[in-house]
Amino acid sequence: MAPHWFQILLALADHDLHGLAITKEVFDRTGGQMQLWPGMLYGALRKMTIAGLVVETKAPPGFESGGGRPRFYRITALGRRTCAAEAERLASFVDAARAKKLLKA
Amino acid sequence: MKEFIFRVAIWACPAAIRLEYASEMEEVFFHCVRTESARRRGVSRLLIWPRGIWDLLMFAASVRREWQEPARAQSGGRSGLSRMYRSMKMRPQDVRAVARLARKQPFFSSAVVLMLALGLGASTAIFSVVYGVLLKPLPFPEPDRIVQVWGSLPARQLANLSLTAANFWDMRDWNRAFEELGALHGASFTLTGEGMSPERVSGARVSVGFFRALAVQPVAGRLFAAGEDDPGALAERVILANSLWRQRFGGDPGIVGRTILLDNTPYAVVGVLPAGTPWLDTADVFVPFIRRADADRDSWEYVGIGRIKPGITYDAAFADLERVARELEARYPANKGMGATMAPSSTWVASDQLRQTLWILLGAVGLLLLIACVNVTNLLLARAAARHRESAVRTALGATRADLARERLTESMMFSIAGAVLGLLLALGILQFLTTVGPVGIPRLSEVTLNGWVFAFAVGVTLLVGVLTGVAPALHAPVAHVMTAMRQGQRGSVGDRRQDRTRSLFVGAEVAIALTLLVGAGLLVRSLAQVLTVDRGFQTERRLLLTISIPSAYGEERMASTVRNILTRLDTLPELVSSAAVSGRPLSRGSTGLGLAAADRPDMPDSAVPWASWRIVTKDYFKTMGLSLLAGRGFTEQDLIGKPWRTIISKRAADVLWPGQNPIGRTAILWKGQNESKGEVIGVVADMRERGLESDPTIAVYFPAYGAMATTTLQLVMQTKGQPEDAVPAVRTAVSSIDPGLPISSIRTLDDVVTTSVATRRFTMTLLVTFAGLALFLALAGVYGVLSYSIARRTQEIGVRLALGAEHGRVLRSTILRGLRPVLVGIAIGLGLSFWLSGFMTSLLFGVTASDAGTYVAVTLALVVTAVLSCYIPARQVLRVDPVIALRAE
Repeated sequence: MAPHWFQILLALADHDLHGLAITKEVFDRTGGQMQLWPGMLYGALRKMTIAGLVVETKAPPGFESGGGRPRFYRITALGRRTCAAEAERLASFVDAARAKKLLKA
Repeated sequence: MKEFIFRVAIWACPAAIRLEYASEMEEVFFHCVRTESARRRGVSRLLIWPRGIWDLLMFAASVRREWQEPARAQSGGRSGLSRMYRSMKMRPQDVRAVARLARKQPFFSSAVVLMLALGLGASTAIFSVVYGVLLKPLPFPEPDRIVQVWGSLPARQLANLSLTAANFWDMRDWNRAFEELGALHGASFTLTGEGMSPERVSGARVSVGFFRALAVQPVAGRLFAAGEDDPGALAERVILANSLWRQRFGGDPGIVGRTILLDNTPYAVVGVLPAGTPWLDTADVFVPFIRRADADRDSWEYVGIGRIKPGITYDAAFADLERVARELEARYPANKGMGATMAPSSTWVASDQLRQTLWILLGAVGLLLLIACVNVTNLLLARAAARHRESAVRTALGATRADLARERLTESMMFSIAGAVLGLLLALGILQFLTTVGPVGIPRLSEVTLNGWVFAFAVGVTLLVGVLTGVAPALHAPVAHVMTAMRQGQRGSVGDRRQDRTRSLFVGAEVAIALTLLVGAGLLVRSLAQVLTVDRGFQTERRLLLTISIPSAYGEERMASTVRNILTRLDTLPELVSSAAVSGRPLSRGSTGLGLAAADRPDMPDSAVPWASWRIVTKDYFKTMGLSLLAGRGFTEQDLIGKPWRTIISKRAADVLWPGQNPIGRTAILWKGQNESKGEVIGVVADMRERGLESDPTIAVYFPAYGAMATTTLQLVMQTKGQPEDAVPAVRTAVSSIDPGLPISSIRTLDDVVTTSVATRRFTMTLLVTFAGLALFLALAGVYGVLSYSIARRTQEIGVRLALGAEHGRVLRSTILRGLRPVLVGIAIGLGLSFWLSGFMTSLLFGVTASDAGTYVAVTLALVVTAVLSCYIPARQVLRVDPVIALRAE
């Protein structure tokens, strides 16, 4: 899975978000290492919607932003499983690195 | 503006996607731009926008790929027009094909992109300068209602005189057309404060109406209020200019209400001006110009600025001003013959000469861009010809003309987009260079930036270039004569010859344009050479200028004794050959003038009275400046000014007053038409171009400084033994040994002053020479390209001729001549074009005429020689042709 797909799923794992919020969260969580430019973000979200990993939802009531009410995205059960599988895959690499004493336990 | 760029980029997406996502994507996009600019430093910040636009384009491409199949299925049912539109739109497979080709021919592609970038970059940068300097509105609201008001003396053909104090106040009271009328007068002060060294600052006295006429808003505090210039008002108030406020007071708004010391007098700070130019930066401190009952009506010193009432036309305001001038003339004898003129505020932006310079430069880069486009078209045409057979094969296999044309268009569009991106970076670089090293004297140059208009201009030009360079090769896409084209080998055919003609035509055009630019550049080079070698009258080597400020609080007596002591002390310095004081620096703007007449020629009509500039000098001034005394004697300390009036005049003045006669001992009438003092001419000195190297030598009148030594601004000129800079410490020590508190300022060498005075001219010349050089290079590249291409295709023909017994030398000659044919045609056209266009730059020339034969001959020769060379290099190939191999290649 492409790293930015994983990061988007991770951002959506515990709450529904709109595009800008996803970009902000990913940027902060990765310490500025991943900047999701709009084309990358919405390109990925379109494809992930087609793949059934996320669905579009309505903005929660009471939400107001500068540009009106943007689309919110919610992670699907499939998305959640895919994300968890990817996280496990990545975690296994980290374990391997630990086993080889590259990282402290 | 930024939103505009985003919206242009998002247009790459299909409409449906755009409508659905644009606003959200815009939000995310600018969030990314903000966070990235906060994070990145230095050059990498330049990459933020390209990164973002690349992201959008990739998104658009991926969406389009997704949509491709369904769209193609639908198009069968559409109308013809929409099908045609659809068929001409760029397709990803075309883009890929072009990218593949570009990779295969890196030299060709980079040459095309570089040429476009050069043309676009240079024209965008110069357009930015033209916009920033000439077209950008002034920083005042409704600038078309603002005018500058002048006095005039129509009988002596003098317009644009400053106003006298009394006339200004009367004009303000009597006019009916102006909402506000204000005046400004230059001054200077010594600014002191706790823990700061005394600093000389420029000041201005302004009436209340001055800033009101400009309608400026203060950034802190207030401006002068009504009544603050009335007789008896408090003079000790000051408004700070923005730059002084930032540099000296750290931009602290709390300065308002505090006091600062000017010439040791406390002034209350009432406000701070915004940054900007003109006027807002003419001085560091602005103090009120207070009306006095006995205001002076003889001394013309005030700049007048007015704001016309809404609804009143410029002409009506001018008529009203003239009425006031007539009333003044009728009422006061001192105003005899005086009129008034005014000029719109647009003239502040740039002098006529600068305006013309910039338009000429813009025209020059326009021509350069044209040459670049023609060259690129030529290259693409050559390549299209080389792919003739490939196109024919594809046509045979079912490609339509639209398919082929679309691919060519895609190709040229991609090149122009790449050229535009590179060109924009180049433009940024050029602008950076121009604004940091550009000459002083171009107003607002330092504020010039690449802005929205300029970007739109670049985009427009790019699209135009893309279409233009795409159309010509596209029209050559073969359809009708597929069979002929397929059969067509390397041998010349009808179609080939037609192409050769097109390309030769283009080369001819390039040469014509390049010649025009070269002539323009050549004329400017000759002008600068003339300016620098013109007889200036004075010497500039080892000459030093500086100003010593003496506090007015010293009083007449002490000021005069300080000046005398300084001059005596300087005479003893071993570092100096001689030194002198003068009332006005040479080559500085503004000078003092008077009407001059001969007492023994009373018949001279008023209109013939020459206007002379006058200077007050000490005895060694002429020696120090290197002006030779032609007749009579110089000043001595016994010549007291005005007791009686004795004067030394310049040679020109002598020639005007007493042509062919000895002027020594004759009586001149000074201030003719005003107080008409009579003065004895005791000497004649050589002429000097003291208003600038490009102005005629002034008609000059000199008075002795003795008896009027008290001054607050002592201007000194010195001739030094060694390097002028080396004498500065000794002068400093000498001055502080007399009075340690005196600030020394404006230390310049005369060489430096002269260099600065021609800086704008040198700047224009350098730019035009660069453009002309690039144009020549591009044109020669075109000549080279066309000839080497045609030789490559004629190898067999040449082989046949050699086999039949032609000599190598003969073939070489005829080949070169063939290459030169379009060059010669281009030169003929170019000469005509130059004759016509150089007429527009007459005002920029000095010492040469626009039809200067020498320049035309030199430039033409240079062009012919370089063209022969660029024909010879490819033509040499014919010498290497072996008839046997050439024929076998069939």
